[in-house]
Amino acid sequence: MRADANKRFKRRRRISFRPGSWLWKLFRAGIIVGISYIILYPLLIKLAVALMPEADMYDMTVKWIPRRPTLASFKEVLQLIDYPAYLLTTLGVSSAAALVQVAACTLAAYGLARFSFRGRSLLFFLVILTLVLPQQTYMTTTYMQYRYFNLYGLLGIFGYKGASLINTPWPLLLMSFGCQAAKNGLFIYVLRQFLKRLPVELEEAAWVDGAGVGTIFYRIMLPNAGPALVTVSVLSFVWTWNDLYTASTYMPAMKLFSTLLNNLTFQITRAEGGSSVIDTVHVSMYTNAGALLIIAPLIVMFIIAQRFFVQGVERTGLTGM
Amino acid sequence: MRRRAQNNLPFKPKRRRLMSLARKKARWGYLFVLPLCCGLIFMFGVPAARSAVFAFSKVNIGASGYTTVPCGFDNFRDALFVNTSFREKAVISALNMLLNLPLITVFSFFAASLLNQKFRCRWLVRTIFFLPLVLSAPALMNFEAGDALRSMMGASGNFKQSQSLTGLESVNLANLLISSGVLPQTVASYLAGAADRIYDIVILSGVQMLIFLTALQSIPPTMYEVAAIEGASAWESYWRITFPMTCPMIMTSMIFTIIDSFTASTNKTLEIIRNTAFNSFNHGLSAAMAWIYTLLILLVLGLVVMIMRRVVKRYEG
Repeated sequence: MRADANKRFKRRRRISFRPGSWLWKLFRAGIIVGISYIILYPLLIKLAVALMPEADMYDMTVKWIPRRPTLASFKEVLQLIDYPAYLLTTLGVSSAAALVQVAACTLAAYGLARFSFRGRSLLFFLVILTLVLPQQTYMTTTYMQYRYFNLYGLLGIFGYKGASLINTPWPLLLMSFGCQAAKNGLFIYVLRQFLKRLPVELEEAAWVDGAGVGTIFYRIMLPNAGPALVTVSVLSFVWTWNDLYTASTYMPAMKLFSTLLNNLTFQITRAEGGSSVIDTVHVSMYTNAGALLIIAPLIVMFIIAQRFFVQGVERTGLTGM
Repeated sequence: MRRRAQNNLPFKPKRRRLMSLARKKARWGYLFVLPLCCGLIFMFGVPAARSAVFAFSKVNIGASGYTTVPCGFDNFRDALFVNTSFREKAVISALNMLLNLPLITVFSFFAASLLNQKFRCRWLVRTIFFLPLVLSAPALMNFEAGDALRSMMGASGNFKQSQSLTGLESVNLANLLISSGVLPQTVASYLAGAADRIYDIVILSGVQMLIFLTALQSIPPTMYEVAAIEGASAWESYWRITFPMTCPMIMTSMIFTIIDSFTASTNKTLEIIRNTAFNSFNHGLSAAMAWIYTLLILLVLGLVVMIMRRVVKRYEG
């Protein structure tokens, strides 16, 4: 229909700067390439430096493409840092936290979207408040909760002094369970908007057929919330993976990529310093290679997941209009 | 649950069953939000209340806990008038955010309308455009910006070591432009600043792009068909349909931008708050700073929402 109408207009006006005309397409392609370049530039320059042999680093004529690309920097970095341990730890912690977060947030969002109990709007207001308040506001007191952990004071009644949960993934997992990890308010908001837009008739039909609340949630709501769940899962996984604040506050000694990336130069300089004189060019080469190695798993996963992610995005109704 | 509903079905009067059903459903609602309630009470409410107490007291941390001695508004006075770098950084983060806010909104709106169109290799472009969402690790952002030019310098032979990984790139670029001798100094530094900002804006507009893209997707295609039949050009239907329909989302995206930029852990103010607590061990001062900062966020948020409401109202009226 629309294409038809467009065709008619094309006949009327020959040269135009409208969607569909070649001029517009060229303009659009230029802009897309430009923005893509801005986004990819840091990655490309990292790749270029990481692939360069040392001679190319001092060579004035070599700017982007290494003359003799080598993987030496990558090999060196793999020797300097314990890559497999970091990868496994980060993968384990982020996937566990993401799983708990998505489960807790979905439950909460369903509760907020479909049940009219007392205090619901207050609860939702508090969820938004958690999003607005920086975690740093109550950082010290939260830290102490986990430094001297006695189940939030419940075991303190019995005179239990508390054990330290710092440098274990438990603080993160507990916060994920309570929907208090980073940006969980946003997840609840998104999921609530999506679940609200699903037709109520679905649930009513299930009620009539004799399904309980649990069954309705598990068999009716969850499958229908697929797109939103995919979006939220990807975001929560990625944001946990990248979350420097939580990692450096509660798990500073754990082998996580986010803390490693933050002080990669320092780590590499220290590891290098043992063997030879510290060389800034070397450090730069290794830092770039190391950063690429750290980002690589995330990029690979995103490319695999992007199809579902973008589909999910289209149907999430994040906006809830 | 299921069995009882089935068994009770033929025997109980209809009205009573419906009432108990509604009440029962509401009770199930509490079960669903139970984890959230636990989190809000124990991981949000209690620590936030304690931190508010901290802000008004001197905190001494011992081996097995802490003691607080109330000291009135001392911490707030210290935060505002003694520790001047906090005040400065807080104002700078607010101004920086306000500077970026319109740019991020316009860019993400524009990028979302681009991504919504059909063209070849769209999946690839979408992957690239959403890459910042994946890579916007706060650490990564600093790291990329800081290291990029350093490595370029390395490649071009005059290797200069920058003092830190953060925030010096524009100075380097400005130096580069000035030393090339083509541009006057002010223009050069402005250009360098703008170049940096473009990168920041693109990196920071991931979620906003998502918001606008879903808004665009939720416009019913029938509207465009009607417009096309009525003889509207694509340009007209963009401004008459697409823009008004996505307009309400501008506020959502702005609110998200404000929250995101104020609470990102790369934020310099939050860094000060963090260092005050964990490096100088002045927890009372840190809490006071954090609460002042929170008030600042709420103030800016309220201001922007108020202005935007007025603008939207005028646009609609």
